[in-house]
Amino acid sequence: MNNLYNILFVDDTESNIFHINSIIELDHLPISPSFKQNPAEALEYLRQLKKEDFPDCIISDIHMPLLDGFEFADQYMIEFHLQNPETLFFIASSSYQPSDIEKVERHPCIEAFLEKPMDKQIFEKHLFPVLDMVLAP
Amino acid sequence: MNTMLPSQCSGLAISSYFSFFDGSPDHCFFLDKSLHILHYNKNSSLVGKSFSRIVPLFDKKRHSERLQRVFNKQEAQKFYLEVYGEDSTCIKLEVSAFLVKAEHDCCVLVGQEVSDYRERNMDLEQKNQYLKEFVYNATHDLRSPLSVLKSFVDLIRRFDDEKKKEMALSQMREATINMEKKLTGMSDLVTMNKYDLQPASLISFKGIFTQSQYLLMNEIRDAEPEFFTNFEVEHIHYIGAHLLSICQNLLSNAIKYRKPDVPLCLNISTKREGAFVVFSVKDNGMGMDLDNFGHKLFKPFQRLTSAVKGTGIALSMIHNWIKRTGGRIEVTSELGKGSEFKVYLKEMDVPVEV
Repeated sequence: MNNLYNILFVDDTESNIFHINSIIELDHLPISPSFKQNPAEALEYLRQLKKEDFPDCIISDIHMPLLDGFEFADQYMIEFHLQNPETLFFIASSSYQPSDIEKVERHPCIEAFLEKPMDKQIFEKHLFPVLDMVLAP
Repeated sequence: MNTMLPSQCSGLAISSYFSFFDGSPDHCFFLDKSLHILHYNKNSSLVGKSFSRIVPLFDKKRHSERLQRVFNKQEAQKFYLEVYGEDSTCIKLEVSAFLVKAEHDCCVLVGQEVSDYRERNMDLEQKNQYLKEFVYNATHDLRSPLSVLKSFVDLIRRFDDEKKKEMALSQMREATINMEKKLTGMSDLVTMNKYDLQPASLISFKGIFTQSQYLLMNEIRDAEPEFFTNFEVEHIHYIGAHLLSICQNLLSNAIKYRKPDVPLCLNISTKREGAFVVFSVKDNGMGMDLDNFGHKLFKPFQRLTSAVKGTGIALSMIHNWIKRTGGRIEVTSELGKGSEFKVYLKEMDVPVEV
């Protein structure tokens, strides 16, 4: 039986990874997480995955060295989006900037903007229902 | 038919277009699809060279994307372009770029030199853009550790495990230190501008180098770099505080981004090149992928690596002053081999004592 959401987090801040792991544990969130520290690592990881192991959802930070979250989304769209339409791509950031929101809305493969720090409510209200809709047979 | 649109002129050899522009006061470039210069009416020695060689580093990516659009979508483009002239001076042009179809596709750029008034307007535009980026990045950079703090304040009460509590506390401590560093960097950025008001004076490179070594005492003690100096030009008229900061930042970067397993060698030199004094710092450190990320190098708060901690402020700061005084920075770098930063400094006017 496997009814955990398979989520890939892309974030270069160690504390954020620690935080996500902690709330999954404390709040018993049904998530099986994987973490990559930057978009280049994440892309490399996705390339090696078998189709059935592909994550249900990707949550990427915006500000990272080298590629930022939007450039990551661009590359993701080219390589993976069409082959994995049921995988949803989210952008997460601690600063709610109008210009970022605009970019999220305009980007063809970014589902939505999530505000950090992420907590139980964000997952349960904004993420899981959307994932359920896509994953429903 | 007397008028022909350029894109309709098929049948003629491309070289027959070259002479059309030879007598023109405008600058006219012909580029092939790989963005090599086929013809330039102002300087034939650039023929065969890559167009990106005469464009400042931070503009390369933007311009090459624009020119690809001319080729791929046949869209004419209008934009501002800075190119380096023969004596290393920078010429600002307002160019139109369009496609000409001959035996092979070719992009023609016709550019008019920008007058003083327009130049000031461009400067303002650039400054505005810089400020926008600054505020955007500063906001994010402060919010990110704040969000870490916020999340751990909630978490720490919920942990039963003492070890986890301790871990959360140390993450919080790091976030506060991080925030403090960024704030210090930002206020440096703002306060250093006041030195603009200082008059220039005759500065010795050797003196600047010695002072930088003193300021970086701790870093130098840890890294034990070997220094090689060659000051062909010994003095320059410049603002001392700026030159010191330029030298200190370049040295500190070279030390910070050294290879952990190879002894660090630093070559520091000066020489005269055209109207400029070139101050160069060359290292055998980690190097950077400039082809893909060079356009981010001088942007505030942008970082090209997560391997070493930094705030992404220093280079952007010195790049700004150098540009303001009519100079520029050129960077060559190879991943795994090292980097060279060449700072083109323009002698500044020294106030005459009455």
